[in-house]
Amino acid sequence: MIRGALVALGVLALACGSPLEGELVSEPVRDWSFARGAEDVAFETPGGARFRRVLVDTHVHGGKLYLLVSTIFSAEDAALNETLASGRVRARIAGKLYDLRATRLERAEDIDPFLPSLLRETMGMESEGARWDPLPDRYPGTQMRRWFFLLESDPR
Amino acid sequence: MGRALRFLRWVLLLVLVALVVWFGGLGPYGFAPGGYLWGEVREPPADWSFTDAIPEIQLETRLFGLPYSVTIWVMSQGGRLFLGAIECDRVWVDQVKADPEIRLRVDGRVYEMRAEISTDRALGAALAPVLLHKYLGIAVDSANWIPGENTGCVFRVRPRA
Repeated sequence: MIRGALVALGVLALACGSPLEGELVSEPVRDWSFARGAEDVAFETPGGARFRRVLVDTHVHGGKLYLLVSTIFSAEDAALNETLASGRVRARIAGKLYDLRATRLERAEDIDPFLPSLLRETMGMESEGARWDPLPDRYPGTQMRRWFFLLESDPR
Repeated sequence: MGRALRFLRWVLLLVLVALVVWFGGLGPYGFAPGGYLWGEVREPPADWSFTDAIPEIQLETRLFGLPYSVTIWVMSQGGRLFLGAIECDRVWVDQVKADPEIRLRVDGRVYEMRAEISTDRALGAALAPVLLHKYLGIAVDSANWIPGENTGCVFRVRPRA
């Protein structure tokens, strides 16, 4: 029972590096709204790497699923590097596994639409005119390093 | 007896090393706290907007009477200086509330200051865009904290009287 609880929480998998466990969903998912607020969310790359040196979070907006990766440190993260290179990641959400295509978003027009809901849900903040501006002149180089990915079903 | 003395000697040596490390200016580093902040003590500037280009500073408070320092974010608005915590339950937040006299190390220079917590919602709204732009790379026209939805704290920093 203890092992089951640890596996469910991802603690054991994280500790021993074992693959994510759960039922693999083979049907494409078009609406990810069910993932909003899910606490049991974990990721691994096709190579089995986990995000260890960066913070990861998910966000659902308009039925689309986003992966947000951030860090204040300069250290490299193997899972992030692999995700950037391969554009693929596996997620466990509410006990089920999903193979996903991870498309990096870098343009403001792709990121701006979900910023208001992101700020509301993660920072408790209502905002107007939110826009992605990662290199502002007034604050040169003070930003956390952040990567945004759009996650879409990619059943193999 | 001899073994006990040797053990005691090692314990004292470890304590001595720990104290040297603690006060030696090696910390804070990243999330790890440190102790006394070494550096040239300067008079506080009238305008703190130069900190816009500085991502992190070090804050020294007191923990059980001993210096305790952490790395934190810093914001300036209208030339004034503010310290912010996304979560109010940080150790340093309680310490500053208990003893507002702090030391700040900014770019290697130390400033002896006084910090007062602010519950002014207008100030929170004024600093929200600063926080978002400076640290998250998100520009906003305006932003407001939703009452009851955030657990952050803001401190206004002034020179000691």
